[in-house]
Amino acid sequence: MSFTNPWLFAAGVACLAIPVWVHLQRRRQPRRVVFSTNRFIDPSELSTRQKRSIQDWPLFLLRCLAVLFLALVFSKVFFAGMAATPKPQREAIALVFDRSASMQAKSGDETVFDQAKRLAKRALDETGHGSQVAILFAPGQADEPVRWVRPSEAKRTLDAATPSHRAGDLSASIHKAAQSLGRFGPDFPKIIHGVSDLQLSAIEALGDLTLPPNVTLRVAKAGELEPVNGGFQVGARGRGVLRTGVYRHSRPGGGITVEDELHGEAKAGRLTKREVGLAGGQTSLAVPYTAGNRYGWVARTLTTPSGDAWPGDDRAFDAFYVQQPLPVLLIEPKSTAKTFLRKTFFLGRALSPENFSEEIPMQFELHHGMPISAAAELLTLTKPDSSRGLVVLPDGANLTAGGAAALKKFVASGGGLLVFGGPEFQAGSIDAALDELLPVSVGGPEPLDGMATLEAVSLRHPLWGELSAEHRRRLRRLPLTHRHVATVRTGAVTLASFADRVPFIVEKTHGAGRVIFVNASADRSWGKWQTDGALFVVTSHLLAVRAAGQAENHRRHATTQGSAGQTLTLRLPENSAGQAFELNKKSFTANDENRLVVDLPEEPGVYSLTDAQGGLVQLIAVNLPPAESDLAAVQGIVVQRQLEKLRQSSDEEAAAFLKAGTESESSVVWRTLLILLALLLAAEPLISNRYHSAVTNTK
Amino acid sequence: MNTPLAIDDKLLVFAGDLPLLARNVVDGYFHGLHRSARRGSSPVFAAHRPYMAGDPARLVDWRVWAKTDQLYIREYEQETNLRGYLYLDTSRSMAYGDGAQNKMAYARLLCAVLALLMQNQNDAPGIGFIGQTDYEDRVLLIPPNSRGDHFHALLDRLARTEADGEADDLGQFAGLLALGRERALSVLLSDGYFPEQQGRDFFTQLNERGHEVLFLHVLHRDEVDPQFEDDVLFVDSETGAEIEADGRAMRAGYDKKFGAFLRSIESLCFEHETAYCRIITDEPMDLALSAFLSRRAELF
Repeated sequence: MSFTNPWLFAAGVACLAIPVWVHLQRRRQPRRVVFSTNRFIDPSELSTRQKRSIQDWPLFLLRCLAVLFLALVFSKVFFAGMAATPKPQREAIALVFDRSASMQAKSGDETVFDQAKRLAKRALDETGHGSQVAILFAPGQADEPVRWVRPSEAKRTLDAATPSHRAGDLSASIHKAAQSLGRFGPDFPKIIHGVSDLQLSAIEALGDLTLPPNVTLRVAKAGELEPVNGGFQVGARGRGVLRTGVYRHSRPGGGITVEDELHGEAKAGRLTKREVGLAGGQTSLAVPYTAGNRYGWVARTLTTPSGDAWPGDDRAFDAFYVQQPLPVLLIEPKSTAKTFLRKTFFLGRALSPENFSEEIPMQFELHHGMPISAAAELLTLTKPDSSRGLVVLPDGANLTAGGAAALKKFVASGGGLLVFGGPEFQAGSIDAALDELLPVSVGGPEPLDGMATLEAVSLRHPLWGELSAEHRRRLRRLPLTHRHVATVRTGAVTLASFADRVPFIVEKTHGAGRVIFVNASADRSWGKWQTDGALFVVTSHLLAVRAAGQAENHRRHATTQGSAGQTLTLRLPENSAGQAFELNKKSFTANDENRLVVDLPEEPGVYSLTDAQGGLVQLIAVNLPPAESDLAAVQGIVVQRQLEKLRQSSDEEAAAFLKAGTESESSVVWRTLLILLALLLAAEPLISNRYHSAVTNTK
Repeated sequence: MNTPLAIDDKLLVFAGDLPLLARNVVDGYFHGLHRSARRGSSPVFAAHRPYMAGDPARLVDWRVWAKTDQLYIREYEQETNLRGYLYLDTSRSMAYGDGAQNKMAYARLLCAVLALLMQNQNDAPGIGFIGQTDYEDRVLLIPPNSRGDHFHALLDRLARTEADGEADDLGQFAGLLALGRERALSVLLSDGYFPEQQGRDFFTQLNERGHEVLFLHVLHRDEVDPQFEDDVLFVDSETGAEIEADGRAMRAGYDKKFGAFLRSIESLCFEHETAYCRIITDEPMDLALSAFLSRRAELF
């Protein structure tokens, strides 16, 4: 017989003094009788204790038993010898040992992991000498072979075991254990010992498991019944420039500290350190993915003061990329037109981040009446990263020779130029001024029947391939009244064309930059496609991005978060197939679809994914699985229900639960004791009354 | 043969309805008697009844015999001027006992039964409550009267009486009882735990007024034969004094003293020509009723 809480049992035994005292006290107290008269009564010697104690014995014993059972219940007694069958000489024992992250939580003075080790070793101590033992860790590697060893060697393996930071699922390991037990003959009793803290992630799949009838499953719970521990949950909401990190902590003690660090900078160059106090039971916090006026990969660390069962999980990590806004120059011809009649009115609306926040953020500079040469010069001079600039040129722009030269220089150095046609497109002058910079030779306007039909757009279309089917369907027919007669120049690529093969969107590279011509007006003079958000907005934006270059564009899609040990699929830039990348000193190769499948490290933190040359591709934040950290999510009743399900799913005899040291089986003992205790307590007043009435009746 | 008159616990459910209870007891008592106790000697004719063996031949109505050839007895309303005084001890010592064996419950019912008997025999019952006082701080006495409504008022007062008084006013009855009354019957229902001198005064006063006196000594079985086993803390119901004693060890001394007490009571009664009848509350009432009737018969 052993006790989970021996001190409680000692205290309970000490409490036996209470019924003894009550008994003695009661015997010393004579029965009080209001009698007619005392005139015939002489005070006499009181009777001796010996004489009367015999009559009180049943009541006394009953009360002592009640106190004893109470002590046994509270001290969580369990009996090592309560197993249904005597211990055989040899057994085949598959020890499924939970080493999930939650096992690092504290339980008393030690961790749950240490407690689990002790329980497991106790189970191994009770096995016969010739027994075979296999240890299966959960979580473990699926393809790892099961090794059967002597109990002594298994104990050494247990000693060397350390907890992981991953989520653990007992069912997979139990299933594997049951399969491996099949190698033993019928003379070997087959037992699966499960040792776990029985947290949600460990047990949620147990209900789907079915055990063979000749396998006995014994489950031991380590740690407290319902430990309390708060955990971080790292997430994000919104898209593009509006994307925001959302952090939740189930029990924040005194707020959350958010610390951002720009990748590559020394510790002294940390961006910000904020302490956010959470008031009124608030548990979540939203912090934007910004870094002031600096751009690049940012590693974010969140900490909260420890004070719960697991100090190790009071930090969480996040990573994000802050993209530099794309400078966009909208060249508005000098006119007195009202705002909504301006050439760039719809373009400005279409390129607004409010419409396409997931795209590259754009920083507008509307130059009203400014000479194009000055504007292009301004872009080149004021923006050091001129390769990312974009100039949008609607029809009607008065392009002088100086302006054209400035634009040529701008494009050659990596800038983008987006040119729209229209009734005021001065074909001769612009074409001549740009000196065949345009990808098409633009002729005069020709009328359409009010609705232009485009060529079919496939999924592999370089511009619209990723659009939804609905968007692609809409792109088939454009509400246009006119178009230019245009001829594609040598070296230009037609991105889209009308059904009669007249080019609609054509692009051409020049130096490091790119020029795109759109065979339609940017304002409403040649139709109303500008007012159709699904057409004009999408097209304008994609064109702007393409014209400005998309080298960094993939970063907006990058997956930057994952749980410890998780397998993550990352999307890489085009032409990454076959390239080697490195994460936490492990090498991975991108597949043909530019996808990279990586195994995240086990230790939480922020890790760099680098290419073969050591250049940073992206940062990845690794956190504990929330279910492993937020331990309050699991209630005892849930555990019990899952175990009940498992028991029902297998043969009754096979699924008999461990009587020694297990939560479920000890609870049977305690439940029995509780019932006995309740019966005793119920019987006590009855017996007491009966006893007293019997005594009274004799008088 | 008389039917034993035990107080049934079920009957006590009707304890608030003393008339009903008393009537039950009385009817039970007279059931099976050979001789009518109701025959009277007044000139007022009551009824005819068939002749029964044992009836005196002088009571046969010969005129009826001549007409019908049947023997009938003429019965007359009994005429009496007997005054019955019932003295009920309401001292706290009378409160001892549980249920039907409670001395006060027993004595109260007995009192009601006796009052009913008196009423049935055209006597005038009255009750004095020893231990209860009236508005002038005298012993509460309901004077005898033979009216029917008086009888019910009497029982009503009886039903409301509890054993919560003192017994040391026993000698105060002198001023309440009229002198020169003839054929008065006084019945004292008490456990006798009053001061001996007061008892002596009480009986003397009754004797002086020519009352026939009956003392119904109501006792509980525990008082006659105490069977306490354990250590007991005895609390005197009258004085509140406490004595701690071993229930077994005290018996010898108790029996001795209690025997002396009984003897002193009996000798007191003997001295004052008072009929004495000891009643234990776990016994039937027959003994008390018989004693009463025989004592009453002595008056005629």
